[in-house]
Amino acid sequence: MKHMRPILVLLAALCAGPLSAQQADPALVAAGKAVAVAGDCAACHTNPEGKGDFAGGYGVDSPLGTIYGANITPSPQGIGDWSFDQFDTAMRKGRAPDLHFLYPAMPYTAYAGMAESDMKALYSYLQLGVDPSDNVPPHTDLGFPFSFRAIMAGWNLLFLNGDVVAGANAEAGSAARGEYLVKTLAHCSTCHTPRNALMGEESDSFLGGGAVGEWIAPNITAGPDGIGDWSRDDIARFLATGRNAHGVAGGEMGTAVERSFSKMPRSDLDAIAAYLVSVPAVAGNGPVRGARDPASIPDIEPPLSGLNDYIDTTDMSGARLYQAACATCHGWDGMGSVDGAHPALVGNTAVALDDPGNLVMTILNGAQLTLDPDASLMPAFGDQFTDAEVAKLASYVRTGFGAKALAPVTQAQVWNIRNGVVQTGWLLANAKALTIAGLGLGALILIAGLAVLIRRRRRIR
Amino acid sequence: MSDYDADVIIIGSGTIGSHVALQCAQAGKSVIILEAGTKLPRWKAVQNFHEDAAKRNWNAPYPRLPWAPHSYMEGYIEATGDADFDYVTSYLRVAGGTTRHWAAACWRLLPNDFKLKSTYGVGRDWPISYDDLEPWYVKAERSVGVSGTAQDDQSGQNRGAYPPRSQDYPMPPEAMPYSVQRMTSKLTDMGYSIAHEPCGRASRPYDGRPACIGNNNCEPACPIGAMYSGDMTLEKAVAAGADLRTESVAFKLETGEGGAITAVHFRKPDGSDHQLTARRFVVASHGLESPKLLLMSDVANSSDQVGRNLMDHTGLTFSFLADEPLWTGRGSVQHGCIVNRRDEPSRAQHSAIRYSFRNLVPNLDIAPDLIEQGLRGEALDDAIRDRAGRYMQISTMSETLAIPTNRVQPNPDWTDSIGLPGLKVTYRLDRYVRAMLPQAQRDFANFAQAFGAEVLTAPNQWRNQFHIMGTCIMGDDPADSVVDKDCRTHDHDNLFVVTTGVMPTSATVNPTLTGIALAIRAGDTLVKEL
Repeated sequence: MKHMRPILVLLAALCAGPLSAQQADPALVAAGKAVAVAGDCAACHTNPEGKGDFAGGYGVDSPLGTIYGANITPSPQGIGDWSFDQFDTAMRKGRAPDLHFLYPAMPYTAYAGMAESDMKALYSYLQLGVDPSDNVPPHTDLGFPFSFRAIMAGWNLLFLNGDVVAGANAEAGSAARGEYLVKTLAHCSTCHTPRNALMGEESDSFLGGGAVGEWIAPNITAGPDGIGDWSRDDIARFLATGRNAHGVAGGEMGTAVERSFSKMPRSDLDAIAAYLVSVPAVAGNGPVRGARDPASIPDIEPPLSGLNDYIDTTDMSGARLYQAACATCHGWDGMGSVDGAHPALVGNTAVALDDPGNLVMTILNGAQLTLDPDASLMPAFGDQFTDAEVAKLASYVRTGFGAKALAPVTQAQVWNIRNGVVQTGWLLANAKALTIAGLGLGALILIAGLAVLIRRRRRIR
Repeated sequence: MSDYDADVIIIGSGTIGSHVALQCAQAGKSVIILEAGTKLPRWKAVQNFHEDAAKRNWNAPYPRLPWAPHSYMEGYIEATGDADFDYVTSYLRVAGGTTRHWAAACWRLLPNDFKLKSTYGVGRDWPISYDDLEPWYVKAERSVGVSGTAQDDQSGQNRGAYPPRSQDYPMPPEAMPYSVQRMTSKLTDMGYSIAHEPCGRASRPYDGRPACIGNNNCEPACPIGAMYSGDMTLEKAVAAGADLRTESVAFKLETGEGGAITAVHFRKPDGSDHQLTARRFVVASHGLESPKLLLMSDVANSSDQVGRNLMDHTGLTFSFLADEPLWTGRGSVQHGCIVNRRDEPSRAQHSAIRYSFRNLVPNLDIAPDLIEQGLRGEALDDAIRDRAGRYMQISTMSETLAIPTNRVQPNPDWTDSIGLPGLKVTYRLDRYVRAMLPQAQRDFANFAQAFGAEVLTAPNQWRNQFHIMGTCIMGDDPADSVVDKDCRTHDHDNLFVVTTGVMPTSATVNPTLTGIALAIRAGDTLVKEL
């Protein structure tokens, strides 16, 4: 099949080319562009060498190998030869025209619920509103058994729900419109809903919190473990700028805010907020609350005789590291600056999550979104601290500004996070042996796992 | 495989060496950087500053290394000055260099600063013009992240936006501090032109740096990294593949057949000696340390000009209490200055002058006197509050000329922990700089009158500004200069010296941006020929 593919593409180019353009509607191009923004297509389909937002080639690292975003421009190397029906099938069923299965790094389980009108608009935009690029992205080769894409068919049977979500044309700013966006284009549940043993989304824990590589996608339900204490305006502000009083968007969420949410109409952000405040509360995967354990002043300020050669850092406690590196902006008491330009750590979600991933990633890479003109950015500290120092610092920040009950961060955890070692679990680690042993179901689960464990490395140097 | 350890070996990891390294590494060349000092993360410098009692000693928070002494370590620099002038300078030996504790003033020279001899009949001309360097200034300003006002006439001679620029500053300036507003309002009518000081401090998020939040602690360390420092470029160079070797003190450049430099010898803190070979060598070790290495190696000195022509902006400082609150200390530590004596016809007779306003929170400057006067408790607090609000300090940045007898040499009578010599400096003030005194006194008197000044420090003590130039002087003639217009030594085709020490004129502005522009230009030369 692999060898036949170029021939099929060639045949398609010869026969189907003109057909597709006829199906696209020039009147829908502008609407389709908005759909593409809301769907954040460019996040994965962009070209890292600047050949265009949709020319493909961006590498999505997974624990099993790199999955490259496809070229989705109207070129023979992209989707220029695809009919609307073929496009629709890829978007909703995860199957490309040559019958190969997409990996669920492409969130087709969410796009499956898109309204017909949005799908047509998006198709029209990608066919008529985007410059064609002949870029050929690198071939995705995850190795056996994951290279055997057909096993996705079984997973799709179990977890692909093809029902269209209502609300696409509901009143601007309404919860119904918000529900449609959250469940389809914004594909929030791809990251924010936990997965079951077969790596399908747990429908009764909808938006109850998940993980993306080193990052935690926290619980965003309307309960005490979620964002029950966020106002609608808090939510809309977070989506528009990547910041509010409760935290700062980092990692994949930062990218989503930068490329997608911040470019959406305010009415759609209000709609999402209106819907999220109604999502049934789910327990867990949220910030840990409780008494804090700030350092005492003597812990922070040793006597002046403490300096030796002005280089030695071995005796630095987490509290002193914090005072030296962080307190200038976040305050000695973790309350941030009075004008809000520098966020408080007390009450900050990333600080108080049980999993230290978001806190450690933020220390290492900083927080570099600059959409809010009244806010500063946080520089990366990865080059400034050893793993042991990050562990001490993060432990202090968690217990001092999050909750006393949070476990200390270990040096090994920091090393894993810094080096992108994601806990893949026994099944993934033993994938090949299991598959060879004939456990087809095992392989099926493993493939599905890719949807959860994708890891986009965004190291900012 | 190459017969060399690296394509380029750069001695010195300060902003200049790091800029050369970054360019070469980005072009795929193999680069080794030798640094005498150690790495020190910014937060550690901040912690040292917090915990060290010496708050006005900019070197204090940085490492004190017996094998790489910095300028304030006892005995390291033995200086001879004049009866009314002690030669003092300040620099670091640490990864990232002395921009770890600068105030980030990022001036361009004026076109006439490049042709002092042909325009005013004194000093020297550069072998390149302002126009030659202009595109490299643009790159330097982008790399450093300079905020500035392109509309200013930085010469104060009614020349419009000046000097000419092909591109605007990458960032606009911060708001004008109140003290500078008051200076502008009072002094403009008296005929003084006040310009914003272009500055390597982010006024909005820039290149992974947060915007300045006014800690007013640029020296000795910006606690949040809003201000540019050389370690930022060094980190980029290392990320691009440059091999940084700290605690490696270069002490000899070895010459082979045909005069080419074949190896650099360096010593580790344990006293062990090592050597490395390369196609090209770049000495970028500061204006005093670079000539020291060349003289110790007996290279590049057929002109006998290495270490000579030492220049600084040696001048006078005036501090006073104004009759109204000025509230210095808001925003960056330097912000505005008087520019109209930078390029006047009087440059034919005496130093050009730039008057620089200090914008530091002055409590530390005024409290000791008050304590000595016996003030205590509430009375002391009130007096500090009152005087801190009214304090102003103005210094001249005075142009000095390249004089061969002003020089730096290795001092074999003093050795560090690994047996390497200290420095011997001879630096006297000549008639050119002393002849500016009447002009400066008239100007200071005007400032005093405008602000009803109660004088704290009269402007009669000469002091340096730690801006080192001239010691590896650039020129077309191999008989009277060390490097050519590309910073290549006349004597050795594969040896470059890149430091502010190559500057043949001192002008009146902080030389670092010019040094970085020269570094980027030299890096370009290296990439093209390697």
